Amino acid sequence: MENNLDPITYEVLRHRMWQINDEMGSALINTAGSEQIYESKDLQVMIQNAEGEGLAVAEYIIAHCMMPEPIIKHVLTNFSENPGINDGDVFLCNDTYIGVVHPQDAVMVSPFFWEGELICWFANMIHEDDVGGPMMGSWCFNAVDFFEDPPYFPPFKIAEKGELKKDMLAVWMNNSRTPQVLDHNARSRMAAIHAGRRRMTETIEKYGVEAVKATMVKMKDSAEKMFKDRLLELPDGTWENIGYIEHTPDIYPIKVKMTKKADKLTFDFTGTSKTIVGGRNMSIHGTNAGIAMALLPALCFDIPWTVGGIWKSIEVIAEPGTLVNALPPSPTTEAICTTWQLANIITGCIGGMLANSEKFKHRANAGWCGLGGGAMWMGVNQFGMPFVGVHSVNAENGGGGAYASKDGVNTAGYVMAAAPCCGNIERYEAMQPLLYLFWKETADSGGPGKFRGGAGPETAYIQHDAQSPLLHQGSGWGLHNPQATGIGGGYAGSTMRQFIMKDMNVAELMAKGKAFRSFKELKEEAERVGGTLEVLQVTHNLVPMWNPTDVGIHVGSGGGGYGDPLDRDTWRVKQDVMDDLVSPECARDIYGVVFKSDSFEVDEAGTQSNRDRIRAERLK
Amino acid sequence: MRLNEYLEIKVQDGQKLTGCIKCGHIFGPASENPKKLAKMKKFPMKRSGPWCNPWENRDDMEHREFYCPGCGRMFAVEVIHPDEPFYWETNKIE
Repeated sequence: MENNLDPITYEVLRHRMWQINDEMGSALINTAGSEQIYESKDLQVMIQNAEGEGLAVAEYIIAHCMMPEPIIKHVLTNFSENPGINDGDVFLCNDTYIGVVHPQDAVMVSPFFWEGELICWFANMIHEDDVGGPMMGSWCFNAVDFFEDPPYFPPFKIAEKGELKKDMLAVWMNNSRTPQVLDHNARSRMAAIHAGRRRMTETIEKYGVEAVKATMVKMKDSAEKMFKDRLLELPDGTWENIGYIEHTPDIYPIKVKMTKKADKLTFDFTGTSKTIVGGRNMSIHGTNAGIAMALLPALCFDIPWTVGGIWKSIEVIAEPGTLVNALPPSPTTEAICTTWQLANIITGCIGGMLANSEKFKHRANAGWCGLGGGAMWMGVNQFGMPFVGVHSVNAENGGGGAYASKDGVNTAGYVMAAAPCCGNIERYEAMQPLLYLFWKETADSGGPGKFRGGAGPETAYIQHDAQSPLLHQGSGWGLHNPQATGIGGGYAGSTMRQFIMKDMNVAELMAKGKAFRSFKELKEEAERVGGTLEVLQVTHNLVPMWNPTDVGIHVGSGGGGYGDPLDRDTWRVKQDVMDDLVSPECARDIYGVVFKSDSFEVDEAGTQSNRDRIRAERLK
Repeated sequence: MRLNEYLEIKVQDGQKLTGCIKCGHIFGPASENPKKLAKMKKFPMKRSGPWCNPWENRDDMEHREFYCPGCGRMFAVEVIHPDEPFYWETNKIE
């Protein structure tokens, strides 16, 4: 049939597949029960072929496009006979060692049959607020092994004939601090699957099952060929990069050697640290996810993200027992931090390869932000309901990496997660007992370069109308070392920082009309009233009794820079200083730009002299 | 062949050499990591930027800058463990 599929019908059906997938995403978001989903979009939806290979993935967290295939293969291998796989079944899995990146990112997969034949699978992923375990949000930083993590569920049948099974849903909810959210989200996931089933049924009824099956085959084959062709356009060679995983206070290296030869791309992680005590170990599924996060935006910008085809050109060499191929019982609840960092490391290698290409040099890209401050709160909200607030809102607006042709985007979020975004603060305040003081871009956070990395954010908040003392817990990456590395002579972006400022009277002052607009203003107020600044580590356990007089502060990281900062156009530096994205000191000392006294007018002669002096200093 | 914004491979007398695009300086054989042939300076990691780790200068991380010995252009920056050798971020020409 594939050969008989006319091009017009193929295009119609191919786009229909992507549209069905997008509609599943809309259904999930519009019905979801946590801000993490409907605001920050920490989710993914996918259509897989009958064998489980990825056909369509939406623009949400890219990493998760790699999850369904191993889970579906596990189901096909182990459960075909008992309990059996039938139309309308839904399997739920959060086992790191079977397919997910970390246990909070639970995946549902559901087979779709037509007249008894398995046609495809619908899949979705939600980052759940809490799936159990000793730490809130299920971030078990210091777990020695996975017996100190939340339960890892292998795929189990949570729905049959399109209906959730009450007993299995109860099992899923049983360990969570926020069972009502898991319950709600399970129904949202089902809504997404139902949307997919309805549209696929309509499509087959209109075009016939053979045309749909042929389209799925051709989608995969086409993506495989397009990606091979893309690789053939790029230079052969090898590029290296090193990054560091943080587990306070220590750092552990991830090393990668990327080799591109003809239409094959190999990622060799030899030399990477062994697994550690603590949650940042990553199974091979997390490593594949990190590669996909970097690869798809950087190299497949005009190729459908049909990973079932694209992945045919990828080889991964990862020694078992290392951070990039952890084995049971290594704990993994923070594996997603490692996955993001791995994506940045890979981005550096791909940036080197693109810089090496005359055709694609303008696309060479520095590293993107680390986590802007993954704060979490737990307590009783203003409605008397227990809540765990996982604030991706802080995470997903760090600075973007600079390109060889333009600055990084300020407060961009991640290139590896196109749709997830800085949520609406008003919505967060409506659902959580918090009041935000300000939200702004931070001067000097973007890595300096000929093209500057995007600026990261800074924000502060206080408790507001909480019905219990709040507990504060943090997770993130990019605090001890910058995650957004520069390329081609660009500096790294800033690290992220997290603080609690204690014994402040902010609420009282705000009631009198005072507004705080920056971290700097808060520090000045702290000096006036004797407030103290407590630096929070990248992973800090519960800070109990977060007092109403405390202020939480997060300063996000910036993107990496591209090229020598002394080569930056002076008008760009001037604009950055005027926009408070670069300080006058940074302009002078790093960019070499001198302004005429008491003005933003560039002293061109003084700048040339200063830049000559800095270059001469470099060569001493 | 261009390597990146500042470096290229030139062939002279049948030998592949790494050179500076901006000033023409010849670093040396293309089989060597250009970082080894560059002027290099090490700094505490705070050098990575005014906002980079404002309270902490880790002993187990350092900031390295690599300059063209001819014109002083900075073509690479590493933030790395002091014991790590330079990694090869431009194409490793075999």
